[in-house]
Amino acid sequence: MESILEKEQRFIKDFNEIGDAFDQYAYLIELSCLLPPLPEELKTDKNVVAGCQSTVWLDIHIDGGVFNFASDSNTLIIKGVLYILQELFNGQPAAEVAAANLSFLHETAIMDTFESSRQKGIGHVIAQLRREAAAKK
Amino acid sequence: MSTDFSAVREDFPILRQKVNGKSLVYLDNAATMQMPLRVMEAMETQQLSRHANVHRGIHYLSESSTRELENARDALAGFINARSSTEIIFTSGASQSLNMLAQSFVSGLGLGDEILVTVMEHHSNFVPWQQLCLRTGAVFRAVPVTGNGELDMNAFRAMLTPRTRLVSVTYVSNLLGTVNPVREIVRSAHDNGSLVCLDCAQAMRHARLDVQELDCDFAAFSGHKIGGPTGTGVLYGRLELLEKLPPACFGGGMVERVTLEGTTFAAPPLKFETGTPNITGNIGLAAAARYLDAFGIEYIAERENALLRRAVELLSALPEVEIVGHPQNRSGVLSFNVRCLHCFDVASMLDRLGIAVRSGHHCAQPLLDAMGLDGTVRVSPAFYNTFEEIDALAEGLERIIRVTKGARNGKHS
Repeated sequence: MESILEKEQRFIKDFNEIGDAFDQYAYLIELSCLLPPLPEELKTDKNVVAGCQSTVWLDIHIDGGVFNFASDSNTLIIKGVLYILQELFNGQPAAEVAAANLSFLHETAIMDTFESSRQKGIGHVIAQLRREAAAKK
Repeated sequence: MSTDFSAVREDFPILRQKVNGKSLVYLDNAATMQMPLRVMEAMETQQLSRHANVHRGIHYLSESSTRELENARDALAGFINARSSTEIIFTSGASQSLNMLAQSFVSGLGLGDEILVTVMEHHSNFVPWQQLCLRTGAVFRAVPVTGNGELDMNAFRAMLTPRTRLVSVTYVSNLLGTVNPVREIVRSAHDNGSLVCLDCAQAMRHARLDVQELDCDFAAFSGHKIGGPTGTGVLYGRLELLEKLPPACFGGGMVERVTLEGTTFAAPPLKFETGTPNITGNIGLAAAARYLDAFGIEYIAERENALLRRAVELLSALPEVEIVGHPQNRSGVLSFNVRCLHCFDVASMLDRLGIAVRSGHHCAQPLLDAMGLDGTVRVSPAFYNTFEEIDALAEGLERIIRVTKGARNGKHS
């Protein structure tokens, strides 16, 4: 199976080949379309990530050491980022998720899209995914 | 006086730059207007040749700085037609002006007294009064808006009571651009025996602020919304009221005599200006006022209104765009949302095209709540914008609507 970091490097290469800033954003919006809808009953306060300016819901499951999560957000750009995270993390061993030090947000222009409060928010999302993976690996 | 805006962009070199490889289209002037070269030059001259502390120095630089600062005060008094410069208090902006005024009311308010604001206020003209009421036991009331985003004037008149001590209302809404009938508000409030404060932060390029003609008791505005530096602003107060009001802050520069037993205060406006003022900034603010005056506020307003009308016309033609608020008299700003897109997505994508707008709650959450929204995209042209830039905004929105079609329709693989 392709590792998290191998998948990430492939994504970074593909993304950076899109030269234009608007087209990169449009690509993230396209990715947001691929995110499966989160059932309304899972959009609970308990599943909301604290400290995000956009609302983000995470529904995390770890069965037999395998990590999976479903997610949604009220902004499309964040949904695009959540889709990338699902592609990277889902089906991976929880221990690998816990150890994964992701760099795609900084090795692409994605982080530049967010002002500082949203940058922190995305950081909270990734931190929460890794924290829960570490707790149940 | 001139109506020729053809060369105006030369005064704003910042507008020449590229953003994300595209020509910058700056449409966030309700947040901060760009600063003309003349303002920077005035501040540079102050820093290079006069920089020193003011009011108590007896040396050349101090005298020279004091003279320039007081010239700035005179210029601003003229700019808003105050009766005298003693009615101009320098502050760090409209927010501080309003907070300071609210603080000065603390000791004069009693249980059951009422402060009347509107749902349409910027948080800066809402929270200080709300908190003042919580601390003093006074009653905080807010006039509602109609579905079009205008003040409900019948409700306003009904909410004036014998206990209404002060009405504090925005001249122009920073969220919807609604121009409020401030003359009528002042008249009704005065007939009721209430004082009136006008938050003019968004109104300064809409019309000449004439405090005598408007007959308001207090007025607040910010420097950076008229081409001055950030961290500057004015609280205007009618002199006889400023003489009676206690100061909100204490320290150097605002006293007459300090002894172990007590302190007597300087006369207005110095009574309200504690510590070393933002000398260079205030000189820059006066230079900005002079710059706008050279064009004539009425011509600036006419051009900005024409740009805004074009934006309304072009955006109204896009079926996916929902314009927020439909006031009869709109100035300065236009708020909208794109159906099924978060305002943040729209503003971020416009930024990728080099178009600067603002998204979010615009410090007007009570009004957004009243309209059932959690945010908008807001565009706010200034006189240096061009009609081509408004066209670029509309084209940018069309492009965004096109590329997000699948996402907005909830397409899933």
